[in-house]
Amino acid sequence: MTEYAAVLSGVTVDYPSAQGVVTALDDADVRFERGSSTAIVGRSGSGKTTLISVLSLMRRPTSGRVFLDGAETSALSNAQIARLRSSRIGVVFQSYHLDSSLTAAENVMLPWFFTAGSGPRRLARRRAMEILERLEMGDLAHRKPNQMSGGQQQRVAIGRALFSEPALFVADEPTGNLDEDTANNVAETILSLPARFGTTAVVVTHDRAVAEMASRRLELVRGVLRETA
Amino acid sequence: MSGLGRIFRLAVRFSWASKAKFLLLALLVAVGMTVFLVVTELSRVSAEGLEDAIEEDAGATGSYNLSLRSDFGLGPEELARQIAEAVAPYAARPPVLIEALPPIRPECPPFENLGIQFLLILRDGSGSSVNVPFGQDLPFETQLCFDGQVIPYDAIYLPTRSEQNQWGLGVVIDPAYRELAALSTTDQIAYSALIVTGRQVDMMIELTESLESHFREDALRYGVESVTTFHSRLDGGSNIRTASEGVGIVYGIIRWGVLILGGLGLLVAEMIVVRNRTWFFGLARAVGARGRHIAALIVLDVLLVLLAGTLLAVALTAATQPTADAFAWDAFGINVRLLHPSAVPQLLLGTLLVLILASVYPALTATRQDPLDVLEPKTA
Repeated sequence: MTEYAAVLSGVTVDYPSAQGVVTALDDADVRFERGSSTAIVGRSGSGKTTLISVLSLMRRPTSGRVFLDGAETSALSNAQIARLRSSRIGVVFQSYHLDSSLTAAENVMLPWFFTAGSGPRRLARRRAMEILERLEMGDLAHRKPNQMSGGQQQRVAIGRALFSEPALFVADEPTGNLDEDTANNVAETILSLPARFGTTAVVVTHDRAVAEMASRRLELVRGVLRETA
Repeated sequence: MSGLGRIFRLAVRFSWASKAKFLLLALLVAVGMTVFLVVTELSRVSAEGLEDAIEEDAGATGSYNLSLRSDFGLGPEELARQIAEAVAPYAARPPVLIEALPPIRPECPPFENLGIQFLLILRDGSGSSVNVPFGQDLPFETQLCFDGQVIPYDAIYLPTRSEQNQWGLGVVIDPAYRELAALSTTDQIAYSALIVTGRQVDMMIELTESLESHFREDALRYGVESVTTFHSRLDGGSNIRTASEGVGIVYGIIRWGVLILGGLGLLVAEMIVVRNRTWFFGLARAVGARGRHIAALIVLDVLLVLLAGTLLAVALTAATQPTADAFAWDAFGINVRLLHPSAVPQLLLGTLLVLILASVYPALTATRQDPLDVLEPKTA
């Protein structure tokens, strides 16, 4: 098994625009060690979301290569990418994106509905309950999103991203909609995932305090990625 | 649980989450389907009624009378069987062989004042007597007397005017009295075949050629060149038939139009669902859903509404059947069956049509959802 959960090698992402081609990510070279926690900071428009979309295989780069668990992904078909995304990557967004008609436990097990051969429903439900309990949300498993606070909803979204035991956990501004105390609480939860779930966490944030909690920090400036102290 | 089973479970949860929307749409479908069933039955009843009336007045569609030169020595039973065999590819119902015996003058009441009458004997494709109500409406002691012969009332049938249009003028008698009637004359018996094709298109040439071809050897042996002598098409009322078809088309436009309108209503509702759930489809793609999963979710969502609506329509129709039937009988003297078996295939076809109309475009729209859509609203 490779020591890196994900590797970006010479990754560039260009967007066409009215003013010509805009480079959102410029020749990014970065390796994410298995079991590490990394915070990526940067101003708005610096390319953070583009980096996350490439890392979570939602977007193919203009050039460069993306490795996940040591496997190169650029030659994979869309169907293979979709399978990889469902089994090896967990994503959390700034908005919680929980379905209001489903309970917390059902929202956590959402990937089960779309993953063939992922076992019977009771096992999926048991796994969702275990995840919620480890996130200290076990007693809210039967509640619907509108009966929970913002922080609780974001933890349910984190649980959903963890459902398929991903090698890589990616969060895009996960504390953006939360007050300071709740944001710190959620950030602690995410950045403790490597220790508690053995996954590799990558968090994009503009919040320096959240970034300080990570074991490693990267900064994006106008599409250029660099290591910070 | 299969993949489709999981998606079905999710579709049920989504439908049930918006109960008011679900019930209103099911009601829309139920109203549309009920109108569809009622108009289908109206169409069926009126088409049948009109066809019966036209047939009564103008003869069955595609009915022909072909006069034969002779029985070619086959005898009437065998001749009837051979005719049936010859025209089988074209006939919609068994042909009738009409033997017109030379005319007689009835001599005893009540027919003595009728004047000269032909005696007709009718045989079906098996050579047996055609089933007509001998003796119907005749007084018990009625007799047909001629040349010292007597035919009793229960071997006599006086054809209606429309039957005379098909069989020719005369009195129908039981074949059992054929020999007795034939004794009264030495004149030749006339044979003709009544053939019904059931089709509007003219088939005189095909029928003539099939008879000529089938009896060619018999005719040559009998010393005649051709088999048939005179042909005529009996059915009329083509204008009434065209008008009847027009009524059928109007009914068709109404019932399918109602379904299409209902389908368009469902389509609009489903497009709103897709728009409101854009984030969900993007999220589903982000957690690994394939296009077919999303499409199945949309199709099942529509299917659930359709099934609920159709069941409601069937229940409504069944509940109103006695009232509708009583009303139709009082008003028009007809029986109606709103859930007529012939409507079931059309109902299934209609359901399929609405399903396709209301789900294909929303499903295509939803499957095109990019997982990035759940990320990018923030960055836009």
